[in-house]
Amino acid sequence: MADFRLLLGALVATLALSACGGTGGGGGGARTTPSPAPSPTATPGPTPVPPLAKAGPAAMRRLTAAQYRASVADVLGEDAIAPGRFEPDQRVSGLLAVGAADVSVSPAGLEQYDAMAREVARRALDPAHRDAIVPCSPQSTVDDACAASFLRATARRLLRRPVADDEVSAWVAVAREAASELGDFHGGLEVALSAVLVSPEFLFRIDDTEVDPGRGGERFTSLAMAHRLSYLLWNTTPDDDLLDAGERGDLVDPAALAAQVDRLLESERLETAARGLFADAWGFDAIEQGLVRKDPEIFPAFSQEAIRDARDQTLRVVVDQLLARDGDYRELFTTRRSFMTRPLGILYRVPVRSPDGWEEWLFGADDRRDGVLSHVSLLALHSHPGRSSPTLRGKFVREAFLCQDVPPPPGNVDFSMFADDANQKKTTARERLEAHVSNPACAGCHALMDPIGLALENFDGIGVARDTENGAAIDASGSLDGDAYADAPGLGAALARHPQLGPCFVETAFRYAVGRDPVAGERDWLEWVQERFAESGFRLRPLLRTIVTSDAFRRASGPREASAGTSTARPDDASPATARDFR
Amino acid sequence: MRALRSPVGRTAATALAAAVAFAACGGSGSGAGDGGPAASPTPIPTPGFERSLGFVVSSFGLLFPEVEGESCPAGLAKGPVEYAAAGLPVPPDDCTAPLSAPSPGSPAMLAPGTLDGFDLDVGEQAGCEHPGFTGPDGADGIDDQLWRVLGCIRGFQEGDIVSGVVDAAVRDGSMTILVDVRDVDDPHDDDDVSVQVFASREAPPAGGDGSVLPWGTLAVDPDPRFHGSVARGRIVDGVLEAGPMDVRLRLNIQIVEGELSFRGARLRLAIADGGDARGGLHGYAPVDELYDVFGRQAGTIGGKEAIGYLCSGLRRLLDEQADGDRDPADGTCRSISSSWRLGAVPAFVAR
Repeated sequence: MADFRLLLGALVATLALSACGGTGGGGGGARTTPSPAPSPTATPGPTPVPPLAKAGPAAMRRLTAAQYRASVADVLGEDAIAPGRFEPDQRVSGLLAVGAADVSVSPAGLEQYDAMAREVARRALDPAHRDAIVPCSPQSTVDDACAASFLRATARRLLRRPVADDEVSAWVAVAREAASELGDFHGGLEVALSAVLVSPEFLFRIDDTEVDPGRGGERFTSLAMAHRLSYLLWNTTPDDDLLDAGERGDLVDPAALAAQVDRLLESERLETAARGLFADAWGFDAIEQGLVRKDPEIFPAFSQEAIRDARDQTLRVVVDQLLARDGDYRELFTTRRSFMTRPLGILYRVPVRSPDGWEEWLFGADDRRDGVLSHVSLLALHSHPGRSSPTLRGKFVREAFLCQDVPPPPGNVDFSMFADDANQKKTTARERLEAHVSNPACAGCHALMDPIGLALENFDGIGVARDTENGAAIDASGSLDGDAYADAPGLGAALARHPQLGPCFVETAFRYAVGRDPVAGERDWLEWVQERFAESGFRLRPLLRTIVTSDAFRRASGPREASAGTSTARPDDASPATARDFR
Repeated sequence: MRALRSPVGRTAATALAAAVAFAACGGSGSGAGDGGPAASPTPIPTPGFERSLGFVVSSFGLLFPEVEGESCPAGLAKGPVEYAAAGLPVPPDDCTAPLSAPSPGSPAMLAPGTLDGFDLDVGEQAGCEHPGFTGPDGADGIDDQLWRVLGCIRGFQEGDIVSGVVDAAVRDGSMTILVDVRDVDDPHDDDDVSVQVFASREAPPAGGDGSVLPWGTLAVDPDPRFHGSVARGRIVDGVLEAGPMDVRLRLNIQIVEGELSFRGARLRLAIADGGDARGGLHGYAPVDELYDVFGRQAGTIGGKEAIGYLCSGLRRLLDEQADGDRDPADGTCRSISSSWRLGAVPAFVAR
């Protein structure tokens, strides 16, 4: 068998180079682009599109675990998805999508990717599945032509670009040598496929840029646009149609781009992207990783099955409201439409006839389950293992829905009284949290968080409804930035009315789309998008269309500066690195 | 009057008010306020669960009377283990034909005692009369002849093997029991409700601490044989009493598979504010069914040793103490009164 340790070592070196850094051409400086024509498919607005004072930098993003699995499933089949964990994704500015541009792959992480790649390849090419993906029958143990046809087509999809003949030849050589040693043609393919699956060009989404010949400055290449669109709108690798368009250069043409965007937005696969966006923005990766734990003595009804169903319940409501109904984003905070499974029915105390599947459910007015704030997913996620947390819940609402930063507590805070939920003198969380108001060191921040969280105190630490705590009636009233409410549904309605709700979502969706925070030069444009979002009735598809057909999504200022948190960084004296340098 | 929590989690009164309000507003939502999105529509009550109180049984077993004096003055029954321990040969004992050989017999529990049960045979079981127990209120004739049979057998004693096995069976899906109370206007006081007991093939939902979780949904057994007859009942100060009714349960405990049925049964359940309930099921169980489960099947797989009896003695004592369903042709009583304790948690009984 070939000495694959050498190959692995080369990959480690390549991956180390690939961290962050970013792409982009030589320009990199501030550049004012001419006002582009309004996108043909953008929602018409009364005001012209404001110019970008400066486009944001390009970024290179590591595939998230969900994107890795979706890509594997698309190219190699659902059965090829292997269990296992990767290096943890990193949340930056509230999003894993932004953190994906700040992470690299450590040697230990590469070992995990390598092990995963081998298992994926084994599953994909086992006798039960190989015929679905290998387009030919080998004539012997070594069949270079057959190996080349499989590897060329598969690598193109996985690497999201056409592959050169010399690359194919190298993989075929690996397959040939392994097949000879193993006496198994498909065993040889497994080894070569494993090598493709640990390629940095598979593990990282590399946004190549080029000089825009018509307008000057840097724009993303047509191929880069293919995977930028696909991972945003389908959360997976481009299909052949999109990849073909990318290779033809169509995706730098506004009209051709718009046609592809329409196709992607009308596909059922947009649901996957919506789930990805909201799962990221609302921190559901903690549920996916099994990190939400509760004390079984206090909450025996809590289980990992139930919390995963709760996550899916919320995401189903999102998809139903924003895609199936093409509805108003703000209604996510007031809708009583939901979906149930048997494990969820126990927590919500509602009947669910289907023993295994999902059922639609419509809450009643007295249930106080209006909107996603009252969902078990968010309530349990933002609670402690043994009790609710008005502070955590309030902090989440401020940060996730209103894009407001809440500073962490001082290091010397005594939490003992707040944690004592059996306190005989202070029976409710509201009473226990009064100390926040009376202590000047706490009052400033907690005045932002606690009133919001206290409105959700009619739900315990796993989201089960309750009227009392320690025998005392719960007072869920309060106000959100001056908008008074009596209970959780009132909070949901106040949030739906909040002027910052829509703009915050636009900013979140934009950051998710481009994998970075907005730059100063994008501010005017972003405000314009926020106005268009409101004019569209706060609908998701028009918002995504506006973003992906915009200069902010299509153009780049230059390479992204490496942040302090990255494990490797581009040398200060180096000229901007491009993805081409890594190949 | 206490409000009834409907299956959609609303009170019956407010559900009605909401429906009326919905009609008055022409079916439109009231809106979330200025500038906000429209409110959701008024919900529709879930069909099939209106005015119901459902329970899944979370603990089950023989109801033990408080016995006055010595329960078993002649000692407990002897099984193979006891015979071996005493250095005596084990008498011939064929559990598939328990009457085929002479039997040394099995002692009956004949002592008087107090039992929170029912006088099941009022005026109906002439010819099968046996001395009853006394109720907590001093009433005579409380029936539980099954305890006369089992009360002097080691494995049926409180806390011994049978208690544990049967109690676990209702929690692990081996013998799921559902109680469905319908036509409920007030769960605390209602003078006319209908009650049905069902078997279910689904296991009750289990919590992280091993307990049966409340508010699960369980489907009734698809076989109508395991749907009990509909009985009328009433709730007085939170205590439900209903009957007579016929009940048939399906059991599949380890490798013992069979049925337990009760004729002319009565149910008493004290319903706590949180929805949990405790009480008893009392009824006539066919002797042949009881023997099939506890004798023929259990006896042939080690039950005689584990529980401490001989099949020949068990069968004869069941026939001797039977007190129900007298066959006029030969005067034999075919069933035996029994009392079972049960605990239950609220559940949605899906029919």
